[in-house]
Amino acid sequence: MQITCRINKREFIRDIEPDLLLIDFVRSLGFKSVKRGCDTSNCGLCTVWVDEKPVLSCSVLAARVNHKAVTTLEGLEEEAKEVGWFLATQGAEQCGFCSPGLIMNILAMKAEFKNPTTEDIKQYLAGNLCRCSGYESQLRAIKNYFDLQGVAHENC
Amino acid sequence: MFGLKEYRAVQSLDEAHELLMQSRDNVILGGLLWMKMGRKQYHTGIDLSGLGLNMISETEDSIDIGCMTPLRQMETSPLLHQWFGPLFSDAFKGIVGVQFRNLATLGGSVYSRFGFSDVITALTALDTQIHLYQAGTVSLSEFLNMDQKRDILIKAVIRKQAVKTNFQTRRKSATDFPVLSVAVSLCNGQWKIAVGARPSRAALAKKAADLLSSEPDEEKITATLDSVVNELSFGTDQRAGSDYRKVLAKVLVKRGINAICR
Amino acid sequence: MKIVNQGIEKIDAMALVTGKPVYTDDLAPENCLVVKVLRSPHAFAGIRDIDMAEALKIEGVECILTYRDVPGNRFTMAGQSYPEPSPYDRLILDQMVRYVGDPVAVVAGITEKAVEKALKLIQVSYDILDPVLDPDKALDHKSIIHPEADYHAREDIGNDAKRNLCASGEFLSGDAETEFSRCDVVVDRIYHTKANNQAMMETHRTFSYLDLAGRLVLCTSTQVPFHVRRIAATALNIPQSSVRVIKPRIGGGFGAKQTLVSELFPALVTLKTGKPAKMVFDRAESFTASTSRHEMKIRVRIGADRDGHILAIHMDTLSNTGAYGEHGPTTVGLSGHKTMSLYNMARAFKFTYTVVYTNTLSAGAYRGYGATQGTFALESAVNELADRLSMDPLDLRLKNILKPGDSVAAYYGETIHSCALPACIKKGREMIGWNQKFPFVNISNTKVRAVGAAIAMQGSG
Repeated sequence: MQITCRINKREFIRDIEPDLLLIDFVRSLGFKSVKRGCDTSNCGLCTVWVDEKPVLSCSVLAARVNHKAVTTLEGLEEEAKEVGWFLATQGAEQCGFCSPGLIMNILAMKAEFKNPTTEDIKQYLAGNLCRCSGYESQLRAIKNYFDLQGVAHENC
Repeated sequence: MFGLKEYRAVQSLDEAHELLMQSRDNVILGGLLWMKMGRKQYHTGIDLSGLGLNMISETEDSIDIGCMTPLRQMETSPLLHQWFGPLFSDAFKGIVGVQFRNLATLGGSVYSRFGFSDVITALTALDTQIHLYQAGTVSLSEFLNMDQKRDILIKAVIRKQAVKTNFQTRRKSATDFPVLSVAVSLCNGQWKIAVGARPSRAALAKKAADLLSSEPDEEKITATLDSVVNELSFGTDQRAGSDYRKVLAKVLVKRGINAICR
Repeated sequence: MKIVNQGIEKIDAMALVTGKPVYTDDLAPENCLVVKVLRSPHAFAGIRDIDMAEALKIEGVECILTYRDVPGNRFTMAGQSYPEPSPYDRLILDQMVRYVGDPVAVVAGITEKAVEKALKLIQVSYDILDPVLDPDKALDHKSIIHPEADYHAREDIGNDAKRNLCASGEFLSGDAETEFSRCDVVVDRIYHTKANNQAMMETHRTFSYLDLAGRLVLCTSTQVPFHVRRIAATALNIPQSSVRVIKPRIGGGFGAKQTLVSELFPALVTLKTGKPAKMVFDRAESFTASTSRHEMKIRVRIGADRDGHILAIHMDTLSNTGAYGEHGPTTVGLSGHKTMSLYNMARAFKFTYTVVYTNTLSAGAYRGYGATQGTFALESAVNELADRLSMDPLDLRLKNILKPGDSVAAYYGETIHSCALPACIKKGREMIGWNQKFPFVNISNTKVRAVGAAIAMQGSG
């Protein structure tokens, strides 16, 4: 079947299999930041946005993004560098495999929350797993990032 | 890996139902989160996404939630908060993650009748009707207990009432399945106590709820808790034994009642 | 302190956080054959026959390889320097399968769907054997997991495959039994730690191709690229000069990738077909067909006089290496030597160990490499000893631990040149408010909050 969609603001028209998953579709088009971690819709490594909403691309049929806009980390390079710098200075990008999905969801959170509390951050990012760290370095980095946005958050 | 030979974005419920009845290998697509983990090879995947069923709307005496409404939309809905408090946000926040809940649908969650479903537990504590294409309108508990005929779940309809609610759950880790989940509500002096993940799916402890008054004393609460574990069945699975679940049920139901009385 | 105590950005940080294609599967050529493995549903069986006629008819299937298609020289997949202490007990594909998940056939094809279909159509008939599942019953079990004539160990590791014994040994310093007889208190306990999975986010994966000189190139997610080169050459029966290994950025390993796991299957396909090939383990495979932490049962005997001087320690470790011996003979040593060494004031040490084969997933390397299991056992016993002596567990440790300049008896008499353990214990005690909180404080009528302690050492560098 044929679908038309915009990925990172560029239009793609492709013939696809009906059961092709979005993760495999975007990776086949070269957007390799999107990673598969768990096979069980749990780890958040494959996070992309469909019409600005963060979703697990491992669990979306490519057929369902017909006439929709998909964003991967490749489409957010400047924002990724900015968030990524905070992660890097806290050593939160150890093996780096989970970083793209995490950053996609941090940026989605930023769109929803002007002033996330520690609890908000923990809840919003609970579906982004990391095996290297204990999440403390990410939490420090994310708080620092939101601080720099001129946004106050509670201390913890 | 699961497979689909064809994908069809239908234009109407009639078209969807006709396709569904054509073959046992045809299937309605929900959020796909569970389906894609299976190994089943389907023929046609029927997508209801284009039918405007992803909405939460208000009628004179009910709140209607379309089957394709993502759980995240329910959590953040001002309308649902206004009528039912933080019930849905508290019930759903432990379900994997925001990205998962942006995909998981009300219809997929309820139609699958999973025992661990926090969605079913929360809806059970309210006055909820289920609209089906073929079988018409039935109460949620009727739906959960009826023969599983192939049908399309169109929407859930919750009666608008002045209701206080509370949701309690115990999980081994933050985003895991619940070991037990409890939803409690109080409406016009009538309590509802729903206990799910026992590990079988949510059911109301009706006798227990009838023992409670609007402002129950400690003695009544204790009698209620004893009644909850006598009235409902509690089983054993990989997550917990039945005895542990009974202890948990008493603690969580008590917390729920106390939170509403406070 | 210009460097120490400063946060330093890694040189690869920006590439990682902007999602650049730097991992194995990001670099694989698009035209790789998809490689998957048919795995044994039986814990222990001999393969009588493999019928692949129907599977080969599937369009897009390139080849199906079985034990008939692999070189006959045994090897170990443990990432260790030659000669590896782990026994040579493997073939790429064997006629005998030794755990649920052991590979039976390798299928390569143009698409994943074709390969999946072919896997379902391969008919295997097995002679099912009585499996050894309990490590306590493995030694001298009537089922011998490695009866093969060409099984061999390169080093003296106390091995006897006919007894399902992968490795065994004994270490003595002083006269432990005499010292135990002098003790006022002896704690004698058995601690059982289970197998765990390393669970790195990036599962095992490798792609392979032939370069312009006909060399086999393996691009693989590994922690041990140099060992991969040597071991792949041995396993495939080709010279090392014909193998090149590329290790891109890897998505975590934690010891899982200190053993070859996915490498040899695409390598074999590339050698047979001349074509690029790729294998990506799914998550289930990563759990069930890689290597785990060694399950251990550790008996600890530790004795002291009534003043809290530890006189003797005896640790006896039973380690379950599973179906194959990867890292079996070496991890077990750390369970004793890395742990007892901390209590250098003791007069006698005894460490005995047995590493057995069972028909379960092969164990391997995993963070701590055996010290983890031993630390749990010995430190739990030390805490019990403190309780029996009515002593503060930190005081008991301070009284018995090693100090700089010591010749460390349980570590082969090596000298320890620096050690800040007493300072760490004192600082930790202060920071956690130990004196106010030990053993516990009541925080409500149903809850107490408690503190506890353990010490550990590990080598690195």
